[in-house]
Amino acid sequence: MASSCFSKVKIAGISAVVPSSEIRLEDELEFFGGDIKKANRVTQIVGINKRRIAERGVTAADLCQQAAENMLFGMGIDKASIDALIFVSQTPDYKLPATACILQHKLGLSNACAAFDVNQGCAGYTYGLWLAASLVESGACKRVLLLVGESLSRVIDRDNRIIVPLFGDCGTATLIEKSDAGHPSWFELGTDGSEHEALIVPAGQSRLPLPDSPEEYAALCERIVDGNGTPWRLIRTYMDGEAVFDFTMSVVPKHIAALLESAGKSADDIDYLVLHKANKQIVTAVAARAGFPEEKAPYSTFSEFGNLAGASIPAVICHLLAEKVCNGELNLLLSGYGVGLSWASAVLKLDRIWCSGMRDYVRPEGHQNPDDILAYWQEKLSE
Amino acid sequence: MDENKFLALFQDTLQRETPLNMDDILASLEEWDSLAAMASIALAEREFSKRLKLKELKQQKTVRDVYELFRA
Repeated sequence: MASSCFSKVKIAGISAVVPSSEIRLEDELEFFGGDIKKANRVTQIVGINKRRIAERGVTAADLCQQAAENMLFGMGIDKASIDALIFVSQTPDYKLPATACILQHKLGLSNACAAFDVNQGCAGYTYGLWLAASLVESGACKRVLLLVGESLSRVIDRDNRIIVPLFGDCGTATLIEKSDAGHPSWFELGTDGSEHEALIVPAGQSRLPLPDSPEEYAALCERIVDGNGTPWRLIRTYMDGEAVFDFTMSVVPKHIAALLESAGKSADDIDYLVLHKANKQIVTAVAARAGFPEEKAPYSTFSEFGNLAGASIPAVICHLLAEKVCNGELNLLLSGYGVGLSWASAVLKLDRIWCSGMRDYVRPEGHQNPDDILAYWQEKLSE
Repeated sequence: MDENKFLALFQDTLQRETPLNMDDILASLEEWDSLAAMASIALAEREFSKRLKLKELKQQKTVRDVYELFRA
């Protein structure tokens, strides 16, 4: 059983960056037959409202890089002191190499720094924390930089009215380091791969690879319309929302109860239950089933920025709790669940950490677009 | 919970403007979609401490069936 307790580790800083361009539900009335009332109803029921979408050429890695730069600069961290960089995402820059390697270079970290990617989604933040904490607790590292970010807008069919309005883009950075403060942290993780088709991009990797010829590729790009009139494409994200909802409701509250028990704590000992922001109904129902009052499980980050997948937990901390964690201590239960299907949760204390709040992404000058990159490769290979 | 209170809560959950009747057929309500079903699961949890699966809920025919299921 993946159940762990660490005692020599702390989170020293958290930072989040979102694209500056905002899309509102009312900007996309075509998804609701042009009816504003229908759009408002969706906002009322599931809390979908606004979200931030990365402009063309900006990736999860770019958002994470800026979140890391803000944090390392803000904290005055010596970059040479970072022993490992973990990049958790489902939207890496390339199939290979690992995006973490490119970020090691772009952030100016030492060549003695280990760098690797982890393919995890909505459970990715708590997964990453568990990995980073394990590295520090074991003595393998003193300081780990955890970057969790997603630009899911890149892997969603733009005409899919179920998924498009749901997901936003965000990049986060968290610094995990050795600590003598003696605040323990507890983790529990779980997996049910039998339900892996509930959230999946079916084509584009080894199982259903991108073919060599454009003719064969066409079949993968074709739109397949389901019984409700929703179009799906195999090279884009498929989601069975009802299966994900049932999974969440049947697994997550029990999992939270088990974690509280192994930590020897009750809901009263926890200041905030920071749940992955899947949607308003999931957050309120999971909180109710886990025995937490609604005010301890805030969901407004979802309405403001959308479902940020793995980045949603640090985004809630930056968006709603920044002042509290900068100036005092908070006991938190963090819980992420989704694609895999995977779940991972932690009980930990944040005690006067560095926290940036939510910052807008500032596009650096000379940042390349896909067109520039295509031209670059065409020239490089034909030389 | 009495029927009237349930009707008001269920109407609010569906985000429907027109009042509901116990004998209304769910399939005939424009608002009875997967979002409404999800919200109803959360309502059952909050107000009735009742744990339901979407599949169970979707087998119900009328508003009254939902009320009975929540109270069962």
